[in-house]
Amino acid sequence: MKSLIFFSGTKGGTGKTTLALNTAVVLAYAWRNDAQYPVVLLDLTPGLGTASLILLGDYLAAWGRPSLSDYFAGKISDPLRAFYLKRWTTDRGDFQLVFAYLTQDVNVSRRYLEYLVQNVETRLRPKLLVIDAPPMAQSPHLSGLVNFVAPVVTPDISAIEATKYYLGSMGGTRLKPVLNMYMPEYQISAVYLAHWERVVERSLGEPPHIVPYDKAIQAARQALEIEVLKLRPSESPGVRAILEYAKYLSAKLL
Amino acid sequence: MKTIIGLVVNAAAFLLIGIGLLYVAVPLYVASVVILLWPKRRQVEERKEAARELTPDEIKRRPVSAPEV
Repeated sequence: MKSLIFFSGTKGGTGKTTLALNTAVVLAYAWRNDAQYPVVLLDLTPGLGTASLILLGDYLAAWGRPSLSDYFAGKISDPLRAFYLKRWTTDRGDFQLVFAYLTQDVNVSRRYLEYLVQNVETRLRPKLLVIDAPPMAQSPHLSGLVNFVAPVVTPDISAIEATKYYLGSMGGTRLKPVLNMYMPEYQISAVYLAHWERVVERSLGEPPHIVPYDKAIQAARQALEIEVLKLRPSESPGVRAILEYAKYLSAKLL
Repeated sequence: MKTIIGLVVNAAAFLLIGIGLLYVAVPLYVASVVILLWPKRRQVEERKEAARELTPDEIKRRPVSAPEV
C-alpha cells in the first residue's frame, strides 16, 4: 500500500480536498479490477470534512454512526468499524471507494493513527491510501507517515511560501506540485514580476501541473457532487487538468 | 450584406408609399423589417449560448458517469 497526501503547509483553501477526493475517485475507477478496495480515503478534517460530506451526500447521514472521532477518543477499539463504502454504478462498470471521517474535533494521536494505517494496509489491502488533512496548524502529526506528498498551491505568494516552508518536515517523496485555480489572464506575479509557473518552479523545485480556475468546478462543489463524475473534460478545463494529474499519479505511485 | 438589402427594401417600401402604391409597399416594408431583424436575433441567441454556464441544479440532476481516463 502506498500513501499520499496533498499538502499546503499552514495554508487553507488551496484545493487540497478537491484534488484528494477527485484523484481518489479516478484511481478507484482506474484500478477497479486490480483490488477489492483499490483506494481508501482518510478524511482527517475536524468535524465532518467536505470530502466526507460529499461522499455521504447529506450532513445528517453521519449522525449516529461510528466515526474516527470515536476511535481516537477510545470509544471503539477496531478502527475499521468507522470505515464506509461508497459504490457507484456507471455505464462503464461499477467501482467503489472506502472512506472514513472525523465527526468531532478530537486529539488524533500518532500511535492510534499508525495502528489505523496498519489495519487499513493488512485488512483492506488497498493499493493507495489518500489522506485529506486540514492545514498543518490544525492537522495531526503526519510527518513520515506518508510515502508521497503532492504540494498544492494557488497563485498567491503566501500559499507558495507556506507550502515551501513546511514541505521538508513532511518526509516522503515529493510529487509534481499543483498550481490550482490558475487564471491565464493574470499570469504574472506582481511581487516577483515573473510568471506564476516560474515562481512555483523556483520555490518548489519543479514546474507545476496547472489546474485552471473553473466555474464549473465551483458549481459542482455547490451541488455537493464529485466533479470527475459529473463534468466532462470537454466542458470543464479544471476536470481535464485533474484527470491528467490522476494519470500522472497512477504512473508515479505504482 | 443583409442589413444593406434590408435598408434598400425598406427605402423602396417608403418610395412606393410616396407614389401611392400602398398595397405593394406594406408587404415590402414587412419583408424589410424581417430582413433587418433576422441576423440580430441570431446574434442575441449566440451570445446567450456563449454566456450560458452550468448551474449547481443542472449538475445535481445529471447521472453519474465514469471518469474519462
